Amino acid sequence: MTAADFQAVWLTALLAGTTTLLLMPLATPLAWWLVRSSSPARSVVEAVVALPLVLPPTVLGFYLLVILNPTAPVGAFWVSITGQSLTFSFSGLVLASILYSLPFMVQPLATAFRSVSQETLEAAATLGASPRDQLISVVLPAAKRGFLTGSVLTFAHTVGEFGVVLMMGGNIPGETRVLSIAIYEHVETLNYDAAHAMALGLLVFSFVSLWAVYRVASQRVEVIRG
Amino acid sequence: MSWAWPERTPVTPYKLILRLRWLQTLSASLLLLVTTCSHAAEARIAVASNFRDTALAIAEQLEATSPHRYQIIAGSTGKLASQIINGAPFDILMAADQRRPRELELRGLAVPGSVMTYALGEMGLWWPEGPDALDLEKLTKLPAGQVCIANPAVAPYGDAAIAVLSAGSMDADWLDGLIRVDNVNLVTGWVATGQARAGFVARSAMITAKRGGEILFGTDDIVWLKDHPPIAQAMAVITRAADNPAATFWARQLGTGPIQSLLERDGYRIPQVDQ
Repeated sequence: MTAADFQAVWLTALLAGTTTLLLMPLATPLAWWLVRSSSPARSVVEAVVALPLVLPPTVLGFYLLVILNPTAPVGAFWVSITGQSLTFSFSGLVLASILYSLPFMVQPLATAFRSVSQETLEAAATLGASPRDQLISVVLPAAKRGFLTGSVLTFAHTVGEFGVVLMMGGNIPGETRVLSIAIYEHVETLNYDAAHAMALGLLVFSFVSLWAVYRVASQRVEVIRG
Repeated sequence: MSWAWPERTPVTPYKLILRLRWLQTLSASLLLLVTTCSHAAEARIAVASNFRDTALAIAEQLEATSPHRYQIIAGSTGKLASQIINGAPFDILMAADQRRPRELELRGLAVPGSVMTYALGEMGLWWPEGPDALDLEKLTKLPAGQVCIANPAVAPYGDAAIAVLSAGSMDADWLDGLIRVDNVNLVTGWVATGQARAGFVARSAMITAKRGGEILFGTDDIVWLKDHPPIAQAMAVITRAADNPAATFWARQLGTGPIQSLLERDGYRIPQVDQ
């Protein structure tokens, strides 16, 4: 692997880390609202959040390209503030990854929040806990595993991103050339040895991430059974 | 216990000169650093896939003779042009056709007058284990699904392949059934790995892949389509790089002897006059 490949590894980790850190505070209130709300809009929001699970990444990438390119209103506004384009830039990839990985953070959190029973919350309320106290002192500690699962899944899913990056990120070293794009480029240039090394690395990483998630999940079952 | 300031060593004229020399060297180095930094620039060069290795060699040569730094990003010409239209931060496009650079100039995305043809590429039919005295007509013996071309929608070499085949006796259904890959380098890869029996390749891609030890081919396995017009590869300086010294330097150096030898080494011909 060359210095450029290690740069791709670092960039991928930076993108996945940034996305996970930004998504956590955004997904928490959203997941809480989805669990607690009885609004008719809930099912619509749930469907929108889950869209990236079924939508081809090229569709998301295409719409982002149309909305964020420097000649479109949103893209032009961003250029006027920062001087840089959102398309084909790291900032643009972070925004795309947040949307693309949204269900991978929201759904584990919603499942974890749902496991906190109404009785527990009522007990906390009788002890004088305000709704905010209930969330901070009761729900969030109980949802620790949900946060862990959501973070691992979001990180791993962002690491595996390809279609969205291809559509609106391109292949700019140090900016948008993430691991999956680097592998694609190695295959294009017949450099199969480098492609093998990186692909194997991703395979092992993905397996370990999922294994960790299932292990956390199985421990929870044991705790409940115990 | 008495204590006194240590006596200062007298500064002899010789030592003074030594100190001055040291100072001179330091100031000269600083001056050089400041001058270099003020002129050093970076440029992102978007290149057609078949030009990737040649562009890397040019970048290496220019970086050795100037303070500038270059980043090479390869892709099919159509994809790179569309990325530029959508705001990709490239400074120069080295396309595999003349159409895209001209289109960028028309859209006001390229510096007016910066479009020029830098190389003439050659296309060939690579058919390992093909019949003796290879020619285009014999291709019809193969099912279309075993013949690979670069996607004509985005790759000029694919466009040229379709033009060559349409001029022959191939019917439209056969043409529709051809394997289309993202760019002309992939055609070399697909034929090399046996995923396609034959393919329309760029001479440059074959030469660089052979030099890198990635493929082997015999001269009988390829027929170079010399009867067909060469593929004129043009470049354009993107508007954002109008004042980028690294981009200007790249464009200016393309016409010089050492760079033209690199182009010829990689299988390109040099255009005599700008086309």
